[in-house]
Amino acid sequence: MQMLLNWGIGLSNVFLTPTNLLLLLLGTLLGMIVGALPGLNSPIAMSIMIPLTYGMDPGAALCILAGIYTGSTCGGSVSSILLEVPGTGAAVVTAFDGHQMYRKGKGGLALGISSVSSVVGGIIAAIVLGACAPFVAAQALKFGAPEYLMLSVMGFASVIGMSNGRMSKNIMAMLIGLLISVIGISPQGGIKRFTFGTHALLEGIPLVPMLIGMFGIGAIISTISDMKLGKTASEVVKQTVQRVKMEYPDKEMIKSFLPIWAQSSVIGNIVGAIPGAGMTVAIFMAYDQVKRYRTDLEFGTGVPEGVAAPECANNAVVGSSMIPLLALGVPGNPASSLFLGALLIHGLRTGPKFFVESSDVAYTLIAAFFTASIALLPVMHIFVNYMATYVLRLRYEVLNGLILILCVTGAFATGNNDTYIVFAIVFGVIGFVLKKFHIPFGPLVLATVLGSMLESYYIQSMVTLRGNFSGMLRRPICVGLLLLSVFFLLMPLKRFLKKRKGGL
Amino acid sequence: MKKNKYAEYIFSLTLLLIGAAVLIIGKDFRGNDKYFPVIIGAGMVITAIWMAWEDKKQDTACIDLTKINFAAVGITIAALAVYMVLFRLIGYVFSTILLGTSIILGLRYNSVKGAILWPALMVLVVFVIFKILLKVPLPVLFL
Repeated sequence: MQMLLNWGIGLSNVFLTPTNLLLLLLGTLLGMIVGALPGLNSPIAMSIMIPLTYGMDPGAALCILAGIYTGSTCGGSVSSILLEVPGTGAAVVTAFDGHQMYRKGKGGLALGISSVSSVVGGIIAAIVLGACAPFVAAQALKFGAPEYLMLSVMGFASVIGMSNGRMSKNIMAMLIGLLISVIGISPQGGIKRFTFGTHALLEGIPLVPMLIGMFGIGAIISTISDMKLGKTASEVVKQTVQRVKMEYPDKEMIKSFLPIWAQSSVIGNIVGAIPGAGMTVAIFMAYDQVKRYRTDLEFGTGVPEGVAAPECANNAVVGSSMIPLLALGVPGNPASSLFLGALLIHGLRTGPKFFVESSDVAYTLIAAFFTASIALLPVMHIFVNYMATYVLRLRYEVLNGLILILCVTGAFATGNNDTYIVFAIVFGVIGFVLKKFHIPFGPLVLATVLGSMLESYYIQSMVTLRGNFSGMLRRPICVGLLLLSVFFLLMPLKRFLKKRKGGL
Repeated sequence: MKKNKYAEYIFSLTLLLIGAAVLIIGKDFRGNDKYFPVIIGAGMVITAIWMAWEDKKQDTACIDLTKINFAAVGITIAALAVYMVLFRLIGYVFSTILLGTSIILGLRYNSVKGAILWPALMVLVVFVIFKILLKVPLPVLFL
């Protein structure tokens, strides 16, 4: 009953507050534009938007960010289908069949399937988020310092074990993040660590300018570094893309998609809730499963099911990726760390007490994801029919310059301090270098956020357990979290053995 | 090809040196405050060696230096570095317009007028949205 009431409050905060609804729709459209442009993604748009939300109330801020996250995940499919160039990593698989459909003259239908599938995945994920996050948070209220310590360890283990790429690089990313977190005055002894005599570093590295630097400036430098090498996206558009009109799947097609949507939603929700696993894992799993389920179809030749499965899965990840953040305070992916940044600006902190102390904000966010998922359909319709070809023709030279202006302005605005611009630029350059050497940002940001907490919990646990860490084994939750950590850390080994078996 | 491999080794070596520095500085911190920096430093040293060892085993490098437009990256970073200095000297509005213009022109945009007008327009819009509509603190014309 209480949950229904909270849902009602959340939905009324979105639907009955015109500003919130308008910001949500604007965010969804902006996200779609950013998602459709190869090289730009939701973290860039969100990092630019966070300082803008400074003057808004938390609900309005979360509405625009939820819109961007949801819209960009769906918008990535537009360039995937029309150009065979995924707008975001979440739309890589959509290109396999989506672009083939476009080449057969069914581009409008492919975009229609993409948007309807995204709506289904997004709505289910928002419901799952609303049901699971408060439950997990309620359980986590029973945690003491040792449990939080193990939870942090599990967060790291999950991000290291479940992320794609080399484990050594995931661990290095985590260590860099931890190093960033220890800069400043120590929480225990109050001594200066790695401040090098500068006052600007005494309070540590501010999270939002760092995120703006890594996700905004770093990504723009990276886009610039890839420019003038072959055709730019706008040149490809001029030569190949014809204006398309959205076409929606008929009843028969929708009926045939139902089991695929159910399957892909389950995959998206489970994968999304695991910190570090991310959208790429979900879309490949969903595509792989639909291939096994529909062996009668030849995937990769323009099969509608090949668009429905990954598009449903990636939008299912959007909502479920918020579960660890809202319930436990663990940002499982870059987008959720940006939500954390936005909440910190408003003096809010996610975690088990979030649903008790700020339940209206928590449910407004859940309702915002729900509403943004519904809004995808009309917004995508307008975007595809009237805007897509123009957006894809935007000149990257101008776009990059303008985004950089927004980044530096945003960094300044978070603290009304020009040192924050220096932080953002320095982290922009660091982000660019790390990106080029394939050091993932997910573990780095997670470690930065959890690092100081981890240190405090470590000291508190030492006191609670009187310096005897074997006491952890007498606490059932700690043991459970420890086993989960081991499980996540063994995942790369499982993948290695599977790969080796496949190679033989 | 060899350059790419060298770049990977240099990257690992840099991280190793940072880790070693963290370890050396960290061990001098008092009491409980030294544990984390020491663990992080040692971890970075070990992981950097692990990364270099993996790089050595792999035939191809993860980075392709030939695909990086160093001139464009250099212009952007230089423009940002100059911006950090100019911001304090001439304030937000002019320094930010200059930043945008220099980057757009640096990326060989073919219209000088456009390269000045677009950033000016963006700064104006940002100024109105941040300062007037959202009451977000922004520096005035001259800081």
